[in-house]
Amino acid sequence: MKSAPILEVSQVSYEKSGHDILSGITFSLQQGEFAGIIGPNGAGKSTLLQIIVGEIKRYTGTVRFSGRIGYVPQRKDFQRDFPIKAREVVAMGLYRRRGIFRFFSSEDWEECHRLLERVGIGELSEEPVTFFSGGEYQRLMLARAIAYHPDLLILDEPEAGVDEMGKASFYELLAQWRKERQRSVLLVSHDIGLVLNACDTIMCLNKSLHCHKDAATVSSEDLRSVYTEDFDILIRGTHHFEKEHSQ
Amino acid sequence: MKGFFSDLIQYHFLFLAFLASLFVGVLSGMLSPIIVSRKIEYISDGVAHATFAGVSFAFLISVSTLPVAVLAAILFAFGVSFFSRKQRASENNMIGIFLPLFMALGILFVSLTKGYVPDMMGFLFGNILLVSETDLWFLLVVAIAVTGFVALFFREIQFYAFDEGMAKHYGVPVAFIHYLTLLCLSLSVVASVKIAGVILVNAFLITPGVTARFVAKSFKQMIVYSVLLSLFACYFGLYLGYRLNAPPGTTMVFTLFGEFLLFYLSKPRKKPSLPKR
Repeated sequence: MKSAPILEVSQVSYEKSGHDILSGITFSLQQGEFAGIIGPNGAGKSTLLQIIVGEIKRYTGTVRFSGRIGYVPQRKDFQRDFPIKAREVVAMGLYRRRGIFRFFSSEDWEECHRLLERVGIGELSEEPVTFFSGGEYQRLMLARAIAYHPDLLILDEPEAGVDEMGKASFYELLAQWRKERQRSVLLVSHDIGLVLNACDTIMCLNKSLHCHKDAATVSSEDLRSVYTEDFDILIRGTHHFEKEHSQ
Repeated sequence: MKGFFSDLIQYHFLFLAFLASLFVGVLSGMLSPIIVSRKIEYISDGVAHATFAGVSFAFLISVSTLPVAVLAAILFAFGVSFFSRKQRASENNMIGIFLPLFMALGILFVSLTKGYVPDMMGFLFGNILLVSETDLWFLLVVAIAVTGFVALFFREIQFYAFDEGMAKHYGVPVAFIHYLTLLCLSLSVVASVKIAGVILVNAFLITPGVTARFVAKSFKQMIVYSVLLSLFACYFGLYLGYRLNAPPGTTMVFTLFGEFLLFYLSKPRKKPSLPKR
């Protein structure tokens, strides 16, 4: 028997300056589900995530979620030159626990350090984030999101600016966390191969939702429906997709 | 140097300038890292110009300049922020609209003022040697308020300055911190204007933070370095002004720029070696 969905998105539409960005998006996410959203540039993927996390408020439809959302936004939000230590960035995820006028305790700082170790950058705990590589930075953002003890973890293009090895190990880390904690993950990515390998379910999005199905059953037609004329170029770039799914 | 210190004791106005330098050094050094990190430098520039409208209006209606200048500064900062946070116009758009509006109002008020109009040059370029005891008390109160704000909300300010969007997501009261920052900024500009003037006050609110960022490894360090740099610039600038018989506001700004240049040129450009993984 299926458990109650952890996230329910119903008939969500969003327009900006008279242009439809999203239209009639409806889906639900189960507890423990690892879902990936794919689609071309301008498909509304990041907008959909921003609606779910509450950054965009003027939309129509409903988003129902009870619990905490950990969010890893796109890297453009990063202030490269701000002098802040890695453990202090992670502490932001613990802020709600302490609140205003209360300092972080030594246990909080130990937890920050443990989380950084958990994501594989424990030795960078006291370092300013200014010189972190793309992969290290993404792990740091993951540690901050996990510190919030989220029921649902949302990631917007977590592999952007990360090399191939970094991408693979990041996804492995994500899968491990989700398996240990039995939490749900929803991510947006341009790397179709990685998403198909890592996620349980795939959503194909291009302003409207074209499919939401098990990753193993996603066909080239599903991809063609969202990538349209770019599909031929795309399919050449994801050769391994054909091999894996032709069987 | 000996003559400077004996004059400091002998001349009351120089002693007041010495104390004013201490307070301006502390408050601008405290605020500068926040302004620079949060990238609201142009708001502080606009606030400085808005005080011109406030002072001119005070002359027009023949009341004390200080409260009207504070009101104009707060009105500018909150006005820009109110419109830009609705995301229908950018912060820079609103500063570009409000700054000339306040300047135009200032000029209009000056032209409407009948009889004696005090010399506006002193207001535009400042003169620390004309600081009164009232100005000093106001500076002291603002310096204590700004120090209290930074000490009490350090963690919140740090998160707000680093990543406002995510800080909000994780429960940090960013709007509250933002408006308190603007309030401190407005009060600081009005308090410092007597020393540096509308034109130069921004150097105090921007340069120490930028210079400190070159060497700071944490936000706490950035604030400490910024205060030290600001204090040194105030005192060395005051001494230079005394020695060269130049306006102290200008020599302070030259010192601030000298500090910036020194740290900029000595800043390591290469990535430091992080611990091996």
